[in-house]
Amino acid sequence: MTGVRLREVALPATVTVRGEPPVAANATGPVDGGLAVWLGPDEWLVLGATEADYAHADAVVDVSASRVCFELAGADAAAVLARGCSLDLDALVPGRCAQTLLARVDVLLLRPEETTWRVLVRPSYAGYVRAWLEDALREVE
Amino acid sequence: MLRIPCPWCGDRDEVEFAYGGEADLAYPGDPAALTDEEWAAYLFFRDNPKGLLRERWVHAHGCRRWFELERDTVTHAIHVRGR
Amino acid sequence: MRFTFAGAEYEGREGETLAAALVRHGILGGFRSVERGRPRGVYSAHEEEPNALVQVGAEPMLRATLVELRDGLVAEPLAGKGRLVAAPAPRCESMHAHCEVLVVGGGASGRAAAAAARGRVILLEQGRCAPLDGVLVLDRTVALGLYERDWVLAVERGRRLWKIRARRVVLATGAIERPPLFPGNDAPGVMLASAYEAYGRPAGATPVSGGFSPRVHLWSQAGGRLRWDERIGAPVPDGELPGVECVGRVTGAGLPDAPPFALPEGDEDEVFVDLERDVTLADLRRAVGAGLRSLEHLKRYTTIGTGSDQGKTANVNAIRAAAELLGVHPGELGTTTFRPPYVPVSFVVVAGRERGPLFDPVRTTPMHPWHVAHGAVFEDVGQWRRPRFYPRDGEDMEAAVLRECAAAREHVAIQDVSTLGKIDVQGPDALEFLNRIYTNAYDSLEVGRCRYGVMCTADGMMLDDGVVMRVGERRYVCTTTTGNAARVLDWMEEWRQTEWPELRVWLTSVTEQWAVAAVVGPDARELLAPLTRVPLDAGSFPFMAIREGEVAGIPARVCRVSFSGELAFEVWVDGRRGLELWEALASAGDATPYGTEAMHVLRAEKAYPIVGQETDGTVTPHDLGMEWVISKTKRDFVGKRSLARPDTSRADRKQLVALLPVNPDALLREGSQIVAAPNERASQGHVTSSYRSAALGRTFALALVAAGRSRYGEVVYAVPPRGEPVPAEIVEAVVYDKEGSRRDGRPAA
Repeated sequence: MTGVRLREVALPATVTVRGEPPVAANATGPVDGGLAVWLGPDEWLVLGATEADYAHADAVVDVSASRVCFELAGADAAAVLARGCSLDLDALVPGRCAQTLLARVDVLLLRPEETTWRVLVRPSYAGYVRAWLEDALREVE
Repeated sequence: MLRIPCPWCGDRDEVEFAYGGEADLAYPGDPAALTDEEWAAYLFFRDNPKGLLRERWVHAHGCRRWFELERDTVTHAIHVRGR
Repeated sequence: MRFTFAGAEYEGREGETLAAALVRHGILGGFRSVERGRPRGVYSAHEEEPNALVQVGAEPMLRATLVELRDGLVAEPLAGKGRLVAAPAPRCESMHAHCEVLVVGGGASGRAAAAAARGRVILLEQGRCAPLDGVLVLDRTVALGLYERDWVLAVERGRRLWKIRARRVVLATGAIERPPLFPGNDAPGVMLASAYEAYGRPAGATPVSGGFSPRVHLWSQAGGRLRWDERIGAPVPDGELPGVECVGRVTGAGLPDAPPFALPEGDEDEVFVDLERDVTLADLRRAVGAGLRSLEHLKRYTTIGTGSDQGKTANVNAIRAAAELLGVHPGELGTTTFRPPYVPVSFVVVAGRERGPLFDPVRTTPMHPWHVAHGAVFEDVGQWRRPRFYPRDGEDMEAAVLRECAAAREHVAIQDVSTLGKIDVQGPDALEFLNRIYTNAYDSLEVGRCRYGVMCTADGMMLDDGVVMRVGERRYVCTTTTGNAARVLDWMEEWRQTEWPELRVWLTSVTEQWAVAAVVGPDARELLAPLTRVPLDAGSFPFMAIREGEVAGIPARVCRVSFSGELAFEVWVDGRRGLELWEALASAGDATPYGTEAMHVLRAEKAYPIVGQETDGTVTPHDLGMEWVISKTKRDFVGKRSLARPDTSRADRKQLVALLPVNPDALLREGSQIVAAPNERASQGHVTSSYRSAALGRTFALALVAAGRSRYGEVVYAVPPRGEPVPAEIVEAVVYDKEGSRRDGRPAA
């Protein structure tokens, strides 16, 4: 898979918030200096916030240690994901997000740019997902 | 590999979901008032129709929301999308 | 390029199949049939090949007509059966794709359909295929099946499994030529006329044709109907299927009239109906003579169509011959059921890259590198890889576990318990929610305290247990067993969303937000005191209390809970600092790291049940002797009504007891059935857990035994899978420290 770069990206402080999401279903958007990521009709993530920032919400939980992020960048990045993800990735345009399975692991997919994808996964799966992505980058004859 | 229509996330492969069985079976408001037979019926007995079934699904590997739909148990055609 | 067949080397050409090369070299035989060992040769040019089966390296049962030559290829002929060879299997993978139109078949009609289609278009062709503008052409790709009318599995070059979701499927799969029926129609050199043309009319070969059978397999798999076409003498697609269309010769159009059909003269035992299965007209006549009338019965009796070629050149001839023998019209017999895969597919292709270390997702805690570096032996607990024990100086598991248990009961030991499920429960109705889900009541649980709880399914059977911590006015953290973390959260969400949507409570998994280390043993305070300013004496820090502070300079939440009956502190820190905490604890003194095996023994000595070990979905809290965990004041909780059913209060239900083998060195096998006497066969229960106890200096077990709690002192027998029944005495479940006196550690000096 020529030209696809895989790297781990540090995530900022993150919270899960409950209430009326500030973004549409399966979309992301800026909020107060952070990034809101839709998780459900009453649930969203904010990357770049603390529990104190959302003390007024129905509920808020610090989940800063609960995800790690792998970034795949390059023209063929989607083709790497397609080896283990059954989503129609063409429809996951920049600004949208999806919770789905990648190689049988629960992931949250973001697409900050046309050829830049971010895979958020629980840290306990990080070793497996990293190994899987590295294997998927190797061509199969 | 069925496609299940999640009301929020759209069509996804069935492996993203868990099945919740027949719908429209509310937890009885006063279980103590039911006889053992009535309680057993709530716990264990289901219609199992050959044809249309209104049933519950949860998008377990997605948004984790429960919703209902109507499926033909013979053809697997999904007829009604709903919450 | 060079290739080897049956030990002899030949020259090959770029893009040639093995079959084409063999025929070009004049090899019209070279194979044998599976049952009768008859000499055979290449018969066709595509996937319908019944004779020319080869093994290439580790891959068995390949059709020579689908094997594309590469330099150095080594192929062995197979007489119908493959061999499993311990050779490196090729690297394979899966690939998902989505398109608006999927065309199966790269012939003229298929290419035309693909060229005319809009949106994303994919074309599959089993042979070589020229590129087509705006179309993803997958050649050397065979479709395995059409599922639900819009999902196709296909294998590209035997290495890549495509999983294609299409809005519309166009089947341009053409037709398979079938042989005529005559004695010796299987002889080497006899080949289908279309293959004869494709191979350039090889010298010495005899072209034959009994007509063409449309490749209706995918249409039929998707539920499409078929009708018998009199003109071509074969089934063709009939009617409509939403989203699936047939074009070209698969519809019957453009195919020649079938030759008139008649049963041949001559020895019927030499007239082959199914070449791969060696089934003749004589076999078919015998089956009809035995009284069989339906195609499915004839197939099973004769094995026609059950070979790896699935009867592609046999099935239609079988229908026509059977119809003649039965004196019926072929259309009345129907067809046998078409099922995927259309061609054989190796498991290695289906497995793809998920083999070896990638076989199953593996989960590890933040402390994992330390466990690896210190020689831990691991076990899989669900997807988690957890240290089972830490052997020193060549210890075996038994010795290591005895040492780890002794350290926990006599000095101080530490365990990584980060895998425990943790659920944040918050909101104005959090208390009400917990009261409905758990069997016990939480009204009196104060902030800064925790309480053990049990939850049951609606049928009254124990689902999970854990500790509920109240960390705020309206905020709790519930722990679950490691293996049940996801299941319990799903369970809680199901009730919250579908039955109690009016409750203002929200649930969030924090399993990985916190890394947790347990510090266990009478000297636990001595280990922790230098690392924290949190007062640890029993007066300041009572059992089941929670304290916030710092441990080893890391913000921490500390709970006094114990899964061993010893003095114990669970230290919770941010997951990203779990390794840092563990390293500080491991180097602070001489704490002994212990794993899941020692943990199992320690808790079993105290008769603490493990969900999934002492329970299996048929065990109630009462069965485990936990009447105290069932609230008598709550109006309702999930499972309450079922605990009042006659079946859940039977006196002879299996109850948790301990077993002391009469021979204190005999280790019972977990799962052994319990019988009252050595020659009895009626099971009265089973052994759920069995260990050697360092504290007791002997073996013991936990078991579920019918009416066990009224049978203390009775000797029963545990029956292992092999060997003699082992006698053991039924005793009270808690075999160590019944009074619970070790819980607060050593009395203050």
